[in-house]
Amino acid sequence: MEYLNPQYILFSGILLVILLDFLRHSLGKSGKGFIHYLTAIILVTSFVFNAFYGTMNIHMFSETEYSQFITSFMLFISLFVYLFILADREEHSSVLDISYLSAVLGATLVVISSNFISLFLSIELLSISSYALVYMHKSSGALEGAVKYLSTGIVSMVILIFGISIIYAGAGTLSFSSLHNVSYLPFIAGISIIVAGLGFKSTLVPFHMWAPDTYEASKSSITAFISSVSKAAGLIAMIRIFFFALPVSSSFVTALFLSIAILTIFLSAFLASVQDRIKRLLAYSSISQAGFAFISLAVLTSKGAQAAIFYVFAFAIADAIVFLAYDMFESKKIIYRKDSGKMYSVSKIGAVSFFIAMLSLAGFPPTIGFFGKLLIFYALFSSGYAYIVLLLFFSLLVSTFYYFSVLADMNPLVALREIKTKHKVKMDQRLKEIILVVLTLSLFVGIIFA
Amino acid sequence: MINLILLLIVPLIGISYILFEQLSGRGLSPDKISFITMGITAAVLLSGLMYGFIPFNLNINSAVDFSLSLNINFITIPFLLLVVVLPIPILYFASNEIKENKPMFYLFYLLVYSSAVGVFISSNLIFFFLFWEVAVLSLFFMMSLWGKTIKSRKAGMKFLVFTQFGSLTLLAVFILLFVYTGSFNFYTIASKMSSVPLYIEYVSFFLLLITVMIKMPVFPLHEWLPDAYYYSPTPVTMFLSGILSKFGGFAFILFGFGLFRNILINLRIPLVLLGVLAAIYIALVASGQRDLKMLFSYSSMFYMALVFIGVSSGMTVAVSGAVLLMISHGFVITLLFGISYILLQRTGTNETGKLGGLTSRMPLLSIFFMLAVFASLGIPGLSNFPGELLIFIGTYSVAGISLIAIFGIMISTNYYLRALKEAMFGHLQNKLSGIKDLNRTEVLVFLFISFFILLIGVFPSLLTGVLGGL
Repeated sequence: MEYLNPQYILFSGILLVILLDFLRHSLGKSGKGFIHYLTAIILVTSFVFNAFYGTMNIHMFSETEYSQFITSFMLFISLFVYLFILADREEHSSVLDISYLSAVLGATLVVISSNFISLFLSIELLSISSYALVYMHKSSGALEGAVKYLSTGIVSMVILIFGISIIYAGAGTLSFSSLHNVSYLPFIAGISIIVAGLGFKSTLVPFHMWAPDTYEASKSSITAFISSVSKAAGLIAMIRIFFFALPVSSSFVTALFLSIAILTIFLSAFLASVQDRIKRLLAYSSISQAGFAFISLAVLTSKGAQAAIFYVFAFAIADAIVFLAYDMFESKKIIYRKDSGKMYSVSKIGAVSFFIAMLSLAGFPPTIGFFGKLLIFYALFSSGYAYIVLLLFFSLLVSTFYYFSVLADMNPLVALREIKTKHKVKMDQRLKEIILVVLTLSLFVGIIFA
Repeated sequence: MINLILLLIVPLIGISYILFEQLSGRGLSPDKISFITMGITAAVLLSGLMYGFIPFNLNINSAVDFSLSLNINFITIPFLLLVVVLPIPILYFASNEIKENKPMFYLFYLLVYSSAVGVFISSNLIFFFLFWEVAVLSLFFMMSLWGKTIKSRKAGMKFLVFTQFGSLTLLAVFILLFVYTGSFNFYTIASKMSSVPLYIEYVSFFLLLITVMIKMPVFPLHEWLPDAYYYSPTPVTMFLSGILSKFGGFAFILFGFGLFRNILINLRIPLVLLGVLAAIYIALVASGQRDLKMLFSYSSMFYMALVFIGVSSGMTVAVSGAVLLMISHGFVITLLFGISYILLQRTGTNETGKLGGLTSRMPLLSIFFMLAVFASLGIPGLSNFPGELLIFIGTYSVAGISLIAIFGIMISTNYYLRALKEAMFGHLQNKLSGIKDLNRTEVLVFLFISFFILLIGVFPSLLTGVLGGL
């Protein structure tokens, strides 16, 4: 039972898929579909085993009280995003399966890393697989997006390593459990640089430049993975380092974190409201969600960390839904905001899921987005940052404006007029709709984790 | 004994039935379903008033104190009467005005209906906020999707952004209370108010004040109102003025008067002064309006300013007067908007200058118009009078400055009577000679509203009697 943790399953699954992919050429063409289903089965098994046995707990990887919850929602989203890719019926090579599994493994390892080296390696595993995933979309922009992602990613990794080395110079150890006696100056310098390094991964302003371009260039289902699981991994890493590992109680750190978070929230809100393309708007809204998760980390209390973890969960699911739903619309050439009235004609269930997920992102009850914001405000208020909350209200007004201008453009009137014209719905679309319905239901059921 | 959850279940059944009809594509039309649903809800309310209500409680997540708890508090019953009864006559205008995509419209209609009921009976503040937001969102979609012009979309967005700010400040009040009392339940908070520090009470009160002033609305945060009222379809305008503006007053009484009474009493003079200023300013602005719908929109704000004066005096008498005035205003303003809608339908214009002499052609309509105008002016025996009287009696003893607002009533007498004279009396224009009077249904609808105006005017004790524990 000791070795039935999701990370082991994923790792052995990757090896199995690589092996079978070699053997496939002798099996002929039929083996390919089998590999795809095997990948899905691996994801399901790791999700189930995570629920029963929890995460891995060895030398450089140890769990905290939240890691099982975080791993399970990451696996949950990854599983459904993968099923969505599978339902696409579009030929995808088994390289995608391998990269996808590696990315998921990297993300789940980030959650339980208890050492800077293991953390760095896990993030690297996640990033390298993500570059491949972005490039795999055969579109004109894919190369550009992947290269942008790759170059900023490499720079951010170098910065992260630099920050880690400064911390090492100050503390003499890399293990999270013995970082308490780090001296002040290396601590301040290290923390600022680590924020920059991880900020790239979790798209905090001013390290967000790659995000809109990469999100737009990659296939929307892959964007759903990058903007939810991959970004969640970056934020979770920050929570792990700054809340559980480093003895942060300095006013400089709080000021730094708060200013980054507020900059992220405001800049992304204003940039999102001037976007004309739906996908870029969603990209900027996703950046602003990261800012909200980060601001509750900034208060550095256990309430703040709890709120941040729940908020990461909330926005990851909602982001996955909007991008997956948008994947269906994008294939029918709904690119600009003015086209969004046609969404219902592509898929009614998809449009309704999109609608509800947008409500959750905008923070309207009774979705988990609202409870996430509620917990964040609670954390901020109980640490005495009432004026920050008032500032956030203005950004929420801006975000209300752009979310609702899309939602009002969607115009349900068009939808119901076309209800009479029953056109044939393909099997794969039905599957996709089922996936979206399951994810959308989790937007409401997730309240019990608050 | 009637369980309060029934008041929410019945509209929800109506909503699901409309969705079901939508999928199966036959059967009853959605407006009939809405009518039946609201009729049953009204019957539930009536039997509840006769045999008493049972509170309801269902815990969902205890970590954030998220539970569906419904209970009657000290001012619920009059508001419940208003929100359960008033949408029934509005339905007639909706069925006249809304021609396209009816199922969706009535879906939103019932959503507003059930969430308005929910706001007044939920004692868990998260659910209070949930219902509050659902009502705002549904009205936003009703406004911007069924509005005729491009301006209605803009007005809807303005309305949403303004009221959303008010909702967020209200949420901030709730979270602040949760931080210091550890509960989202109204009664638990009320019993633990002593553990809230004084400066937090002040902060919360100011945040609440922003919510109230946006929602009612009170000058200077009223900017969204003229556009939203004017460019919405008439049933939506009736909802906004008849029900949504009461949310603000309700929140002010429930939290401002119920929880932060000390702060309210400390700040009563500046607040009353603000209310007086708002009343006079709005009355002056309304005098300049030549369009009936715009005139009624502004006059609606004038009564809200009076309500604001009444509540901010912090006197029990004035608060019960404010409740009375809000209920009565809900009925009167619906009657007025109904009249302006019918005039617009029949004559094609709402400008008083282009109407005239309609009494000879539309005697029934002019009777109702006169009734509504006289009710608005506060003629004894009609519904606004007891409310205004109690407000001024209550406030005079602590803030005599409130009597200046009576000048506002004088100004409003001027513009109401001018509108009545220009539209109904004088020389009949030739092109209006073939105009038809109210038909039988319209008379019934107007009689239904007028019945409540007369009832409240003659027996105000019916409502003041149920204001328990003020």
